[in-house]
Amino acid sequence: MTRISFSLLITCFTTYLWGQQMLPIQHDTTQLKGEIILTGGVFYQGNAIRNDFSNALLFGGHITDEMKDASMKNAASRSRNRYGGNFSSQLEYRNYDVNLFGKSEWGFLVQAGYETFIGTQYTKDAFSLIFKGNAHVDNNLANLSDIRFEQMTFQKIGFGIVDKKSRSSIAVNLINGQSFNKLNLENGEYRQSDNTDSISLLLKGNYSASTGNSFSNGLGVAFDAEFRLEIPWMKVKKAWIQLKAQNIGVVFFNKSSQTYAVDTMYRYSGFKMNQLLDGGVFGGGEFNLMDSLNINPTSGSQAVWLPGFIQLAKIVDRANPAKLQSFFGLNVYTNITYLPQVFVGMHYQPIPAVAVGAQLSYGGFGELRGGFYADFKMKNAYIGIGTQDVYGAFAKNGLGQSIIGRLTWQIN
Amino acid sequence: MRTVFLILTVAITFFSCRKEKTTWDSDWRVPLIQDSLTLHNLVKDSILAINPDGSYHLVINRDILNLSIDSLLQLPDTSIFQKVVIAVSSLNVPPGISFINQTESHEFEVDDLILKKVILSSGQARIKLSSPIAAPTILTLTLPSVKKNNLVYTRTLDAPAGSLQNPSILTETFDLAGYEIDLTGPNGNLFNIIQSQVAVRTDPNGPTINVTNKDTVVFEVFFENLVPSYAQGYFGNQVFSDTTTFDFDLLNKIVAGTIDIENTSLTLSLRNGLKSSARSRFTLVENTGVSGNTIALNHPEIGPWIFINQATGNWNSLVPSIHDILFTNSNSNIEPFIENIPKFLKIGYAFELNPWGNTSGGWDEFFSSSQVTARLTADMPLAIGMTNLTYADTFNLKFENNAANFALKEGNIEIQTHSSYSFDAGLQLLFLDQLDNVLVSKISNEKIKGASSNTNNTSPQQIVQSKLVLSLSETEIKQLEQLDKIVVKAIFDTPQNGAISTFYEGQFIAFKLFTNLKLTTQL
Repeated sequence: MTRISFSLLITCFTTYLWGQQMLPIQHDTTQLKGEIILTGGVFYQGNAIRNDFSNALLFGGHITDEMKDASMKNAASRSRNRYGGNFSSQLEYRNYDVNLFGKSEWGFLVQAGYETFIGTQYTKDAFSLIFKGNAHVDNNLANLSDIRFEQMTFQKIGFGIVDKKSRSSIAVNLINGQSFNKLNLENGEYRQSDNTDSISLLLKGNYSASTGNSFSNGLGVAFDAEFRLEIPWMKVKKAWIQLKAQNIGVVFFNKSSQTYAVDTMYRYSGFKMNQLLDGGVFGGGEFNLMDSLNINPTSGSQAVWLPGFIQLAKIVDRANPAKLQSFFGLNVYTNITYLPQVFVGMHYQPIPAVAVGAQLSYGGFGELRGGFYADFKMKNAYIGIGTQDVYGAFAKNGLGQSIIGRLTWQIN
Repeated sequence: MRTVFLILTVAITFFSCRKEKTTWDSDWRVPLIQDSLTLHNLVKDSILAINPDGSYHLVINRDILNLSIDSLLQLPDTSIFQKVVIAVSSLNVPPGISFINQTESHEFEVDDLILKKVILSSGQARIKLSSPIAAPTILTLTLPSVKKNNLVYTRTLDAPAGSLQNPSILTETFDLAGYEIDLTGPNGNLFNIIQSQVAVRTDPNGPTINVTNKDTVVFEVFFENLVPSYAQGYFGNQVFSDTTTFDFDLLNKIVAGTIDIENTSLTLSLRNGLKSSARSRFTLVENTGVSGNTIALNHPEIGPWIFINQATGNWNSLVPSIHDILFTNSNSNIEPFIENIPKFLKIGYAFELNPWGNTSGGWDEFFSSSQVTARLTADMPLAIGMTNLTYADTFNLKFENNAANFALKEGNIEIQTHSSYSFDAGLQLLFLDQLDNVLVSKISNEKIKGASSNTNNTSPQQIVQSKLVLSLSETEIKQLEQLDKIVVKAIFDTPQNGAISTFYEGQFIAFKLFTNLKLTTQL
């Protein structure tokens, strides 16, 4: 039974869990021969879109008008809103038993992982236009400027060097780019007359995307690096400071990737009868919206930056005998829609086998949130599970959800 | 330990399994058509004219029969043939000496026609020469009665040496456009006669040659594709008859209802542009209306032969002879004939040329402008009463409701109008499948209202605003997945139960057609 459950857990972790970065990294200085670390997590968060809306959007179901209105109400006070998420899993093997390149302090790591990242910045009007339609545009005007959307799905396999004492590491990864979508609408405006008998659409921006359904649409390279530094803390104690950079790299998507550039003002007030009848839609002709908007797609290979992750934090020392430890830090994705996120929390370890923690975070795709995690030690294994948004885990009017898991198998 | 794994496994598996697709509904209002219609949009022919008070009247001028000279007089292809030979058994001819010069008259074979003179607008003459003379010679063909700009047609050909077994052959084609052919013979008192003259001489730079009476030079001239622009003679007793059907495109789309008109009159003008005696008759004038009812037009001059005098004048002064047949309420059933709303008009006619034979002695003339026509003319006020007059048009239209990630859930078509016409108009849409089965039928909740200030029949009239809505439910939208075509019906009624209303210049229907759609997006 244990074997079956563990297999299922690994399957689910490696397939469906996300973002280990949000779970406080715990430093362990125990002398080991190696470690197998399985991490995974998912989070999505925003500063306006409620969970009932997100759940239907991400996991299926019908988005009701009530859900839309509630999320729109949240979005109304800001000129720009954010929403995004990450879906990732990674399996890592660290060997501290070998002396890599003859150096006694170096071990090695190999890792494989999967990640999907989505980030968007949008206006309330764009949200309304997409989810409610133009029949509900306030004041007949929708601001569509400075709207961004980024999505990338990729897999990676990497090799790196680990410092046995500090657990610092640096790794290089080969990246398989599966898909990407990138929208940057610099300037956009939708207008309609009172009776909606004329509409105009101003668009300036571009959209690019990979095409095709194949597993691999591009290759790239990325670096992961993690540096842990022991520093004095509160006079008599010591603490570990972590500087982590992950997925810093680029993917070269193949030449079938397409880019749509648009810089146009399109006005429309209905067709004339002869446009419809004499060679028009009813006369054997065709109407092409892309042509009308003067959008000309071009194909070609594209270099796309990965959604890199950088974090500077004071992390928890699992081997520290103190029952109460603090942790705090700042992280950021290399993505314009993700604001720098700060977090601070307390880690409580009543007995060596059990630890719990709570944190507050602010930034990222959302705003202030409270998180919780629990960590268990069973013989050679650590199991950690947590959420960055406790309120969101239970409330449909929350603004995000997250679940983070990490399984560490220590090899002595 | 087991419990923890189990709970995590179940929780994660449950959380991670996506059960259904994401959907949401959005409401879109899109202007589809914005236009303004006047009578000029509907009636593309220039048959509308305006009275001083601004009201329209219909001016119709349509030829229902038109015979021009090229259909009345068709010249068959024909040819002439001339052989020349010396009169003695043998002759030595020095260089540059003409030893044959012969002129012949030929019959210009043109069936039963008697032609004295023809001017051609187009046609060709193909000349074929055959010479057995055993040395190069110079041959000249002259057609004395074929002239252009008063110059006689003549052609000189250099014939190479030939033999009795293998005579030298030359062919040449020349254009006859603009040539006048006099077919009255050398003394001007005959008809269908054309002359040719052939001369043969030795090459001035060649040797003395010996010619015998076996050396026969043969000329052939083939007259082909001749089209006259003028002819003089007797063109036979010819009868042209046919039954012609006219479609009325606009009226063709009226499928039901009745109209009422008044003060209607039509004139059928018979014109004879030939300087030749002729007569004509209408064997049949009938129409089939929108209801399928066929009605014949009755009038004393429909049926019997009508003699038409010949035209007078010449070339630029030609004046055709005209015979008018006036159809009024007092002498015909013209009003019910038109109120039948003809989809098809069928006219049977016969035209006979020279019904009494060659009474002119062969002096009939056709000019390039000569035509025999029957023209329908009408000038009547455009005033019409309409009761449930239904205009229907069909458009092919597919409806794919699973395009990309969007599907139409429900919606309506909203039509806003401003009309200054006096009539009301209802709207009906029929959505048909490939077998023309009605999938959905929708009738507008309101009518396009007619102008209310029509009591004094003056222009301009008050503009009346209307709004029509045709709603399509979710069930009906699903039925439209079989859509193949759409029939748009407009049902017209003039005020006071079909009272006659006058149409004025400046009247219009301005309309905006919106679609209000609830779309379901599915991801």
